[in-house]
Amino acid sequence: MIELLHGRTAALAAAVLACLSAAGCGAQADGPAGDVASGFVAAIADGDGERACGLLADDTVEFVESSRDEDCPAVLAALDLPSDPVSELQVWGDGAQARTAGDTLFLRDGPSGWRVVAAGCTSRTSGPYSCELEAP
Amino acid sequence: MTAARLFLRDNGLSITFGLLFLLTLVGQAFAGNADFNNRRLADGGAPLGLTSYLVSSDFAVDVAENWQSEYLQFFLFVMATVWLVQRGSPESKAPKDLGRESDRQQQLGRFATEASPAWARAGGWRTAVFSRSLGTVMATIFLLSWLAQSVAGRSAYNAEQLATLQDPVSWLGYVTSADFWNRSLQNWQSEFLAIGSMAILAVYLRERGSPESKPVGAPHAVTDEQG
Repeated sequence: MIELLHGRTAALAAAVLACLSAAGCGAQADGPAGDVASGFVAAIADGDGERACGLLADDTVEFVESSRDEDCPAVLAALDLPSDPVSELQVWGDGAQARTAGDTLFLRDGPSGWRVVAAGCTSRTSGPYSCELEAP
Repeated sequence: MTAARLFLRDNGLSITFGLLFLLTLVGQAFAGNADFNNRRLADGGAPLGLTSYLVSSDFAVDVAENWQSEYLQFFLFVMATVWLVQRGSPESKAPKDLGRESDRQQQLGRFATEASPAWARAGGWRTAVFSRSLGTVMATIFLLSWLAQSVAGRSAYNAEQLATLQDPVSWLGYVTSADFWNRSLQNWQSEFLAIGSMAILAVYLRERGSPESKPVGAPHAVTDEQG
């Protein structure tokens, strides 16, 4: 009879515990991603486009500026993004989703830390959110 | 022969495969980390160090999905070979022995010997539990591994959902998702193919000296004989 065993029970238990406790394996209520999301909507509320643009991911800024042929603060001013406080945050791995009363934002943990990659997002029946501000 | 050499000889199979397991797990960790970082960099994310990767959901789900399928395979094989036979296969018992077999065959009750395990001699619930301990442990490890796959898989899946501007899903949403069942079924089908083909190929093919094979000269139709 075949008698070979694969794996180790103890290692499995360790992997489960590590997964459950690790930042990348569950939702977090706050933290760096929440700070960046709150900082972004606060900057929008203050009308401080420079500060808000500093919290956007580089590729989002590049795409927005190249597609609209304006600098980032001018684009943000024209978009009239919602600026309510962040009420809900989910973090999974290097991605995060922040919700405000009138907006959904997506963030990514990149080489420069957490940055907003998409804002002014509304859900669709299926598929990705439709966002006023996003990277390609 | 020294005691150490004797121990190594008597436990060569488990030691060898234990070491192979550890070596390949380390290899998987390095290769998985490199692959993960390639994908992260392509998506504009930051690479993860090896230690962070080892406690990430991506590593955990890749490990757990393979473990659960292996233990499911052996659990089903242990249980199926009680009730099903493959005539001529060394993986099968003879058709006349179908089922749980008699106390005489299983060395239980008055047929137990001094050398029998204590719980086999004890009778009652201890013997009932011990008589099903292999299948029970295999099934338990399978279920725990599958649970770990669902927890870690949900986390990895949700990270991908967020990267594509989609909502994260609940645990229930994940265990009913195509991703969860694709990961599970792609492993299960390969395990069932391997164990089924092993049972039937061993009817007609031989490996001299292996207990997984019949003796080279044994007839194809002979069942329950190891070489």
